[in-house]
Amino acid sequence: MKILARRVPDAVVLLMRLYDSDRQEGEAASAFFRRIDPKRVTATLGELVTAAPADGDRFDIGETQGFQVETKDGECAA
Amino acid sequence: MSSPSSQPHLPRFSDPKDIDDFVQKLEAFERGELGPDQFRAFRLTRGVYGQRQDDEQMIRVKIPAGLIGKEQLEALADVGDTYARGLGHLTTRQNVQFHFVKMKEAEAALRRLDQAGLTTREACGNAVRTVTACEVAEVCGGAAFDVTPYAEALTRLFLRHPMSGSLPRKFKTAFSGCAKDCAFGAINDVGFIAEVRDGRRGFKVLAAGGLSTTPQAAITLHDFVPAEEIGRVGEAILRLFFHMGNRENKHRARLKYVLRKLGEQGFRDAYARHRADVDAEAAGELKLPAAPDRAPAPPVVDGAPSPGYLAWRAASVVDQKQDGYAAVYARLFLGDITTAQMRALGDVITRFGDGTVRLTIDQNLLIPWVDARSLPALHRALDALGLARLGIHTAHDVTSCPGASSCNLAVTSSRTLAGAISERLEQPDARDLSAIAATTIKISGCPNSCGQHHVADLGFHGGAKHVGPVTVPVYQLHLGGGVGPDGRS
Repeated sequence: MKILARRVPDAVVLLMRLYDSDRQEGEAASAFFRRIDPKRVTATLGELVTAAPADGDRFDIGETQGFQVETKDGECAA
Repeated sequence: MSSPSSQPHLPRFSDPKDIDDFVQKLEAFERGELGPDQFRAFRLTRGVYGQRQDDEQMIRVKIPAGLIGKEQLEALADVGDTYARGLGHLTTRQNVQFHFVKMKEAEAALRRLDQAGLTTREACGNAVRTVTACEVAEVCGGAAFDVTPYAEALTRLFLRHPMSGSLPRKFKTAFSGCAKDCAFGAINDVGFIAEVRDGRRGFKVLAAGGLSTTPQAAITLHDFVPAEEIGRVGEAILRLFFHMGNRENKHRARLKYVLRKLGEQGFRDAYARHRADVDAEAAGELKLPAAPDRAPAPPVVDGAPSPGYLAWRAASVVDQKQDGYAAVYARLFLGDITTAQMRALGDVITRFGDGTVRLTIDQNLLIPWVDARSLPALHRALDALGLARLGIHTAHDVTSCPGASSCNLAVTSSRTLAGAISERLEQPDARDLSAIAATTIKISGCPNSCGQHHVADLGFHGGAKHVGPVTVPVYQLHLGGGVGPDGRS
């Protein structure tokens, strides 16, 4: 599931609320997020993943200019 | 044993000849005698990595098992102050790296590091990378034994090994003190998990794990090998990789692709053949270091606890298995540490601990061997340095790669997202969520997983999406990741 960059912080809060409300007693976050039905996750995130991008969503977080993918060969695999 | 006021002798890994070699190759490149690709491949194996910005280098300093002391911290601080804007950065392999170093100043930086025994050799590129280790293995009640001496010995076996700098791709090694695998051996090319069996020290050996765009869980190569054999194990796997790794396609070059190509049995057979050669040659002998000459500082008792002490004690302090001592975490924001903090930390570990600090694989610090009676005073000292931040190992303690601020591969600014998440979790509608204490978050700016997004409860990797004529930044969500067999991404 892809989430617009600027919406990720709100998505994190919703996912954490989901853990607080739906976890079983003593269930660790890792186990919960492995178990949870992806459809339930999609429903929880709602408009964060379904609404069309607003103007501000075109920019990466902390940026005020248009987003461009500018990648070159990485040096990790020279 | 040293007296508490003296500095402990910590292992030295540098060799000035490596720097001479670097200078010689740099000059050859500048004269046009060495091509850019050849020079790049070489300089990476000396820890000098080109940033996204022209003529800006990242220099990565290898810190095996994340173990350093005051002398090393001062050398790192000097390099940061003189050549790198006063800032260092801890990585998920327990290294320290400096950004925005000019190529013309690289030699001087390397020379200063060498004075403290610190090396950048094989820190980047197609090389045996820093051997990592569980930061608490010396002091944790759950650890079978301290894996640090084994990590150091294997580092020495691999460092400047004839194959180490000319592998098909990078090669990562990790040591964990127990089956919890805190050092993530399962996502390394080789993982050693400590165990005592029938009174004998040894390791479970995992092989060919990895993350990146196609994560691969490691296979168990040995259920148990006696500790003295792990040099031979490492040597045999290294030879296997050197000879059988894909040198044509860098995207299919890691050891996990050898596993996929040969299949598990084929991989085991290939390992057995190399292992037989190693045994016949008596190669790969492990030379364990002498026992360290470190001693904890006497207690520092100077007044009542400050406000906030109890919360800090609950969040950041781990009781050691050694009675009366504690190990203390200091959470950094995304692994960033200022040179002023480095220098002050050198004093803190001398005054309160045994003169050492561990850099952790989640980009934080651990100060072991603190007398429990010193904790209120240590809290005050760390607080004054901005190092008593709460929230270690919670959702606030996000791991992130450098992202688009310096890396050529990155699509998005992962570090900025990490800050935005932490800020969001401070808001009134979020700050009381119990999930914050229970959840780990890791972010990468691209699918390559330097931020280890596959092994977090909530993982994110950056990408781009086309919406009509516009390209927008997005993150792929990964839920419930981990290093265990049931981890998913």
